[in-house]
Amino acid sequence: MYWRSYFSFSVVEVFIKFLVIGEVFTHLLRHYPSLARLAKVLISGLGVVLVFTATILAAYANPTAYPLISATRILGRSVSVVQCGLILFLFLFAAHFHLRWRSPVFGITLGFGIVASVYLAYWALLAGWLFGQKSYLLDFLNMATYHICVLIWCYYLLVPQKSAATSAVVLPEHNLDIWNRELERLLQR
Amino acid sequence: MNLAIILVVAAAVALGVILRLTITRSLQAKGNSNSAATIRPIDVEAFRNLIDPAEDQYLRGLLPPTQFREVRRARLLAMAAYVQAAGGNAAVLVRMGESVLARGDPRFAEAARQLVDDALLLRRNTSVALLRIYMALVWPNSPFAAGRVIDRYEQVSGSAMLLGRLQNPATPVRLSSRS
Repeated sequence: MYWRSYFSFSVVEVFIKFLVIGEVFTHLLRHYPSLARLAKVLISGLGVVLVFTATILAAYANPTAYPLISATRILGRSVSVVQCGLILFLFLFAAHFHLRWRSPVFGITLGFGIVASVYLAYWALLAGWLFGQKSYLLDFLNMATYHICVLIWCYYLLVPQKSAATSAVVLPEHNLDIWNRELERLLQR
Repeated sequence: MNLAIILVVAAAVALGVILRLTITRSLQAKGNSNSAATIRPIDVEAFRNLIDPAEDQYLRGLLPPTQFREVRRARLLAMAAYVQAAGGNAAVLVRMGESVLARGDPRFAEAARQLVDDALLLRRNTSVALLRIYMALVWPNSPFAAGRVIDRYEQVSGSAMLLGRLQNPATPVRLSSRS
């Protein structure tokens, strides 16, 4: 009964987590319409690859005497692979293009990234049945990480965002020739 | 067992990357004012000359195949250096545009938004162009065109100059240099 409930809630949790990742993606790209198409293509392609990888990993899992427990752990591991990959992609994409994260969105994503990474390791160890009867030790690590992430979320959501550097942008040297050419082009439009 | 270890290592790497990017982001937010100094002017005419397909055709007809491949690889590496510089400048301009947008001054908002959009497209084009250059390094005989990078670069230059002119009429941004 316990594992059935756990499995059901895990499925709901997975659904909510993917909704949050989708929402973060939308918020991140809301101010960058020029990149939206590229980002959608990349994240769709990556999603397909990650789901394929997670399916392969699940298919090669070792059978055990406790199918429901095993299924829960394998589901957790597969979902963690996809979530961790998607969140890592969001971070790398934003860093490559120097996109500006809004503070609450960044905090949520950071917390999710930490949780997803630790969950991936957690579920990988559990699905491999490496800790046997001492798997409760992993539970402590897992819950400690989750509580740290709750603190991170509270910090980014409750502490007001510091204003960005307000000094005027210092511009490099003058080049009248190129400036004139650019001005001509602007006038021709 | 092996799979679990591989996944644990992957998780550790992912966590490391996320934390590193977080630290980098906070450091950049603190030291934002100096970013314009990192712009590297590009000789657009030399770059245009380098990617001219007619030059490649001329060299192909002039040199024996082995020597042509060597020259072509050297030219591709030079192209990569130009494209990387353009991509780096685009990143700086994104930060500059964002910095202006964050100030919330409606006089500069439209120009800053245009600069950010153009710089992001340039960064996208340079990333694709770099991939194609590295592929062309493996197959030096394959055709390669980086014209879109140059066109976009000149467009970004125009946007940067417009924003620079609006902010400080005496000192427009210089993104190109002439020999």
